Amino acid sequence: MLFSTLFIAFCRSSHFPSHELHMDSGVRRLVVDVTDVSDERDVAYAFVRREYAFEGVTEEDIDGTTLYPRGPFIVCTVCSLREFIEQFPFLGKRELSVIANKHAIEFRSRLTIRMRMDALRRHACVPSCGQILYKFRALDRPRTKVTFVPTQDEPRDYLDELVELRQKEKMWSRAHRRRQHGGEIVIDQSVEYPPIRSFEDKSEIIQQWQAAMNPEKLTRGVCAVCI
Amino acid sequence: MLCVFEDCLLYDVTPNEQMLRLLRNECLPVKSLPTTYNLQLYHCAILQPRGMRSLDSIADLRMCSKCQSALTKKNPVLPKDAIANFQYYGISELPDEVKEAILTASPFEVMLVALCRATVITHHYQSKSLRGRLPDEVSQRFNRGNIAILPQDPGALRSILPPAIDDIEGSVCVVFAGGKFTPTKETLKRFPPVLVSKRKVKCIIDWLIANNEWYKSHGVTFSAENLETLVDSDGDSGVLRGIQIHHLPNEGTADDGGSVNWDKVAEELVMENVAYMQGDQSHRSRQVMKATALAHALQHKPFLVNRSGSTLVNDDSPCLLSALFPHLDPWGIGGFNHPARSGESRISLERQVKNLLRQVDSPFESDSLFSFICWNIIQKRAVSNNTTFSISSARHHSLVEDLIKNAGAVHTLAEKFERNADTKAETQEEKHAVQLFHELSMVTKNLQGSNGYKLCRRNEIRSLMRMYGTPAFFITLNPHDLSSVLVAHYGNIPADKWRSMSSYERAVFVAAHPGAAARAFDAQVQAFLDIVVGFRRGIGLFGKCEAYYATVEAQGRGTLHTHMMLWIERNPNPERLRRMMHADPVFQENVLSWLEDLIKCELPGETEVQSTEVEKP
Repeated sequence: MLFSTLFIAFCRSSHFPSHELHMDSGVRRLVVDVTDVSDERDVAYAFVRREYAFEGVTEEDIDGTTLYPRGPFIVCTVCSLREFIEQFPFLGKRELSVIANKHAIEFRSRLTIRMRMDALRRHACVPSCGQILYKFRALDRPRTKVTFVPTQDEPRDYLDELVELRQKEKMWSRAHRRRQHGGEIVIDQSVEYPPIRSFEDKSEIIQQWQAAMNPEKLTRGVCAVCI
Repeated sequence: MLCVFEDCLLYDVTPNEQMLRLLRNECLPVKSLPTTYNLQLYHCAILQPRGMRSLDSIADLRMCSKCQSALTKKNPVLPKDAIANFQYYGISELPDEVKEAILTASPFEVMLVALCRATVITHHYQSKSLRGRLPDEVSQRFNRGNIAILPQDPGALRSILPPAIDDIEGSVCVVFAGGKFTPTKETLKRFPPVLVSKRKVKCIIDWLIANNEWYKSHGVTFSAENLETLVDSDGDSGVLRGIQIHHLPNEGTADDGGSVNWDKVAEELVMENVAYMQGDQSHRSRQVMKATALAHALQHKPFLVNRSGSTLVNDDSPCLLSALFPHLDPWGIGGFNHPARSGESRISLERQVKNLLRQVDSPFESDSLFSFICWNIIQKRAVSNNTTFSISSARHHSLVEDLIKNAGAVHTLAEKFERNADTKAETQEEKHAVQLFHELSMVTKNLQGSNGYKLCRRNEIRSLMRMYGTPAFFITLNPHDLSSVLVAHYGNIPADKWRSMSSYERAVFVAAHPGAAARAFDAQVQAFLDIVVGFRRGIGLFGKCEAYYATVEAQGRGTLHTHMMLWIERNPNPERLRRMMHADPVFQENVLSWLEDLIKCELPGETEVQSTEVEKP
């Protein structure tokens, strides 16, 4: 599993463009600039996954007092949107739509989370996407169970999927089924219907029932603690 | 006072000091602490002696999975359902005389020692079962009505027990139904169930004043004068003065009851507590309430009314349990919403009621009013939380305008309705206002039993039909409680004793232990789903079950039964099934033999109808 990192600039003033964090797949460790020579830092994706929740995207100035280490927020940029989406899987429909809006992508409400993620993974940023800052808020309790991200298939074009979805819904529509069933009836011989049970099967069910209901096996006890 | 589990679901846990310290309750009075085991050795932990391996030495404790996981995890916590979490009542620690008085107290005596009452109580004595009906003692009867918790004595009398005769008058009524004699006041003096013992009442009140936290904090005092006035007797026991006695005679009743052996009658009589409050659920009364509420709002009247004088006791009051049921919580240590419960161990009233009713030999289960009153409180809360008004979307804006325009007519109509619920709208404006009421409908989708709730359940079934098609089977499962040894199992009596009981005795046992009957029913239905239907367990008797939907109902005697719909994999809808059967004779033959194999009109080997009538010996 890839331990890529977010390249994050810890912004400590309201003039964030010169203090931004950077997320870059090439960086695999958290770098803390103790000497404060540079405003740019980078941090592992694993760290952000564990410690932070996505708050939103911004292009405006941020009050430095709310940012790390004085406040609960960090802001960062990403080199690769695809990598960010793959490495930070805690994004819901709303968050994905917010990110998509900044990249001039418009989602329809029926798109699933995976479709939205695929659309963003396939997106190639253009200059008009601009400098987008991703804002994260520190979690009250770090995530302890999620340290790895699942391997994902190649992203599919969500427009193609939408067409497939429509066709599938059409196939399952009541009108279509009615038309289908109104025609020649073809009995599928492979279908086990009606499911007639043999005498042995029924005997087994009766035995199981008798075993479950046998009062001699029902022994009772008392919990010493609860009411 | 314990909740039982199947033995296989209990774990042996070796207690450590940290665990036992969690199970302490520092708020309990010292006198109420259990003496049935070595308390000091167990670090003052409040435990259930029957779940302990040893009472005199530190040994393993039997625990259910929830308690075990809560107490043995890395950072152990007090289980919410623990008796140490203010669900210990210390009945066994009462002095013998008080215990005897409390356990044998009649409803009349409890009423005299309680701080407040929730209902107007009628005691209904039926001396003879009606023809063709089961004896009443074998029926689980139900009450209908709304409870409101009334202080026993408004104003100055609030802190004096027993209450004065003025407070009792009109609140207790005894109805005798049937019989060939008319009970008189003199003859009732020989009828034990309606007699009140001065000694018992005094004993209980004195003890409660001295030991019950809530009685102490309310400054309750005992009034010997009130007691003497209330009980119509020179000796210890007598009839309560101020109670109303009614008789519903049979035809030809002429005897005044003077020659009747009342002790013998008392043995045969069935007493049933009927609780009621004023108010009804008719459409007409809803209309009146709606009109009043709308008129109130349109006149910009405040929603909080500040009144002087006596007010109803709040349902959330921590003293509620002890004030209403001093015989169930005599120490006043296990109230609902106890203020000393810390945040994480706080439990809802519903959960505590459930816990109390789940106990084996629970005094809460056998109390005639506890379930009724608690259920009513829960229902009233559900009404408050779930009620919404609904109008069609097309009328969202215009309805408000119309209401404001017709505010005067609404107010007039509300006043008319208050005077007479049968009033009809006369003017055009009033008719328009009535039309507005019809458009404003009340929705209570999460309130059990309401129309909105039923509609939601129907919609769930429709969703399943949309998903899985037509259900294949409609099953009614009606387990016979009188012949099920599971009732004995959950009622905590040996199976041998159950087998030796007559049908009548079993019926009386079931009526007295509705909780055991309900748990036995649940076990049977669950086993039916797991074993016979095989839901999520492969192929069952009916085939592979994709989904099921079941509702539970109670029939006349109180026995539970369930109606269930089953969706079987690959079951076609009726139209398609008909076509398939029409097209293929072999398939048709298979379907018919499958149905005949599953659906029977009699039990195997039985051809005669068996009588299930329960007759009193």
